[in-house]
Amino acid sequence: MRYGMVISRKRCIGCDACTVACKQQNGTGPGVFWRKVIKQEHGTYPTARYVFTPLLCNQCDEPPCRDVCPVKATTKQANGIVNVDADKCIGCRYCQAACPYGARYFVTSTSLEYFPGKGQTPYEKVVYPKHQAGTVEKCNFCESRLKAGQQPACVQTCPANALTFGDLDDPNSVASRLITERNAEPLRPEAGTKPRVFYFG
Amino acid sequence: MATSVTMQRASNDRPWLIGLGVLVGIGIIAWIVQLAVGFDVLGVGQSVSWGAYIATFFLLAGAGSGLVVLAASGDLNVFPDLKQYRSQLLTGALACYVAAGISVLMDIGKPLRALSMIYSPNFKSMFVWDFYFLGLSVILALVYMFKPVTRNIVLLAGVASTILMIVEGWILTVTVGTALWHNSIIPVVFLIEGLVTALALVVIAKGVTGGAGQVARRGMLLLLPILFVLSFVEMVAVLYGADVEAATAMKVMVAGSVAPWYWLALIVGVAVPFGLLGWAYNGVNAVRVAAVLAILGVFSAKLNLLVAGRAVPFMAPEATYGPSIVEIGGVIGALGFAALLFLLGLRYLPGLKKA
Repeated sequence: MRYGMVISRKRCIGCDACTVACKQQNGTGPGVFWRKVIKQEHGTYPTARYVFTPLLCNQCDEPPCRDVCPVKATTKQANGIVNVDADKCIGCRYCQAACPYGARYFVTSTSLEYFPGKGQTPYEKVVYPKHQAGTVEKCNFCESRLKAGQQPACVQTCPANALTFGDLDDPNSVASRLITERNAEPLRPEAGTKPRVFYFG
Repeated sequence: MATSVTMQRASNDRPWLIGLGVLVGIGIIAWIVQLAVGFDVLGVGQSVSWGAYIATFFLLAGAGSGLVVLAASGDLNVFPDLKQYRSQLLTGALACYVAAGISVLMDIGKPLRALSMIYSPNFKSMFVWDFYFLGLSVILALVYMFKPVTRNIVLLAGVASTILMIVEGWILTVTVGTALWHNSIIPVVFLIEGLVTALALVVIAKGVTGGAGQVARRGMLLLLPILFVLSFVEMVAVLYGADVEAATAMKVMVAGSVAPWYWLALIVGVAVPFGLLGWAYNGVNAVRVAAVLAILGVFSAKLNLLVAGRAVPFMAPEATYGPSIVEIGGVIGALGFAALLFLLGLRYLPGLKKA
């Protein structure tokens, strides 16, 4: 089994509910976005339109972040998830430069506040210490939720059903069928990293 | 007689030692602030993740390697005039290597964990090769300095130092996510920049009147135009090449937010020193100014490359970078540390006291 995600750009309404759900689930600090929605304007008046592209770690099969990590803190697991061991990471940020998707974030501090000058909220006081300042982190498809038999928080939250998560090794999974039927493609395939996040629409 | 010379030297360089000690103190304070408050006190961000510290690391490691190569070229009779300065060149190299190590430690989030590269190294990572070649270069420079000089050790030290300069370039060229750095010219540029920095340090120390100074002057006059040409070749090739992302980053490099560093490197760091060394070499101060400008140019070029490469993140607005006060303090401390180590080496290392 190797997990992957298929994203419908047509369905995505750019509401950032996934972004918020991710931050809530993983308790990431200010400036750290394990996933985000890129909003780009395409075309010209009168046919101009917004295109929304949810962006997250692509859990590549050939992850360049793993290859450049000097201390083997990044590993590719059997379930397809690229994992960062925060206890091993030295915080050199080489992986940030290697990632073609800008999906990796450096935790500058765990004492930041979303409302500067007002102190950390009770929620922040609980979640931020779970992260390690001086290390790099990223999306892991909400691995703890997967172990509990749940979908990643972003997938469960998306109000437009734009995100489909599943086993890409199973040709009959909804995600695999979407890739085939909708000709879904990864971002930047030319980078040769074999991403496991696909887009269509 | 020897004792009086040593005592005179000791009293002469005391103000320098005190001044450099102050710079090192500034660096230590900056590092403590950074460790206590977090990386938010630095100018680097999520996209431009490497800045002044890594530029300083590249500068100092290149300088150290260049100095070892110069020492080796003296002992191999390529430039016999440099042979008598072997110990000084190697002391300078070791000082640069140690300060380079400190610079990179200041840049990483968990400095103590850097030891993991010894017991859990990933040899696919150029960072690890850099770490090992830096260590090897230090060891070989020490052996070269303190053991009887043999042709083998000279060659080994020279080759290891040369490879170190190239590996530092490879750190950038192998990064898939940064299009501007996919450029095979970078290791060559790093090699030449390392030699230019080392030659500039010789000019600062010796002027251009003696044999060694003349070698350094001629070396710089040869290498500075090559740097200029390589920069021009790289700019045109990338700007008009097929890689759109690299071309976009190159536009930022030469005409965007970080362009001042680029033109500073090219004009103030290459063209002006070339002119001063070519036509004003009778003035001791002019050639020393030229050497300082060349080093400043190398630093600017490295910083410009680091920042421009990361200034155009994937599907995101252009990122900016400016070194913070804390970062500047750290850089000053690292450079001061290199100079302090060099002076202390001249003062206390056996065989150098009377140099």
